[in-house]
Amino acid sequence: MRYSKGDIKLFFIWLRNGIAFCVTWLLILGILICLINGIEYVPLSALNKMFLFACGGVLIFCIWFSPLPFKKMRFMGRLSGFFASFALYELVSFFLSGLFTLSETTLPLMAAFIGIMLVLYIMCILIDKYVYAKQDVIYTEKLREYQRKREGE
Amino acid sequence: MRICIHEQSKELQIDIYCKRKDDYVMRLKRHLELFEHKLCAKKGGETFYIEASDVYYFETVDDRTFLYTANDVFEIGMRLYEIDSSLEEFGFMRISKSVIVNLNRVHSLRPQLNRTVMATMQNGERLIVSRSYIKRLRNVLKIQEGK
Repeated sequence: MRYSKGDIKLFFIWLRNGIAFCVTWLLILGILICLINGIEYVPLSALNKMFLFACGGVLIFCIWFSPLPFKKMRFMGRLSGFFASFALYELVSFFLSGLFTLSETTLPLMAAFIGIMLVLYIMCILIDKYVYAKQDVIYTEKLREYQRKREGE
Repeated sequence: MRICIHEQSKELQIDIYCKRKDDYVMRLKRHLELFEHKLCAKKGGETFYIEASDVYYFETVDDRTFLYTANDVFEIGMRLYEIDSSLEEFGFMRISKSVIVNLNRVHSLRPQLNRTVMATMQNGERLIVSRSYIKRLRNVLKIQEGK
């Protein structure tokens, strides 16, 4: 399997669309938070941080899910890679932005974040193991039937 | 195009007489070759005739079509839609915009969480059946909806 110009183009389209989508949502959330807290303006430094944070996250997403680097990898493999790298990226970003510190006050916040990531990941594993493994048998059995039928022709 | 049959020769022989060896004539030649289930493919300047049953899959990359066997890759002068229409009856099926697979060479199929299907070939290579072609795959393999 080779990579075509189309695959490369698709990677950058995903990157562009992803950044646009994430920055828009983060901006809307930022404005809402400012409105709730009575802040009249959004600081430029916060906007820059938000933009860089979105870029990094989208880049990780595109690396794992666009057809470019891991075209042959199974979806669960991609998902595991994405969860691991994205969780690490978020932890580092939150620490750098001061949202997470090693104090007792942010520990429940960190625990909640790690908990959400783990629950999502475990749910995906369970669906893959129990729902799709069954379908795997059905599809392969039907394929064998088809191949036997063709051999007989 | 005029087609004449002469019962003269001991062997079956087809000669194409034309004004110019253009794309139309070459397509006709390729179709005749396909009649014997053989595909004319090139590798390193050499021409090879490959049995359709030995082909694992075809893939188009940047307007060039490649033919994959168990451990080799060849370039073929056919478009994917030409292959799709002429090899369908031999168990070939389009599984994405750029890939046609030989279902007889697929080892296993595995539906995935993102609603695509991963096809593992007999040589261990993996191909993705994209969402738009899954319905067709289900029809060919006679898999009921919802399963």
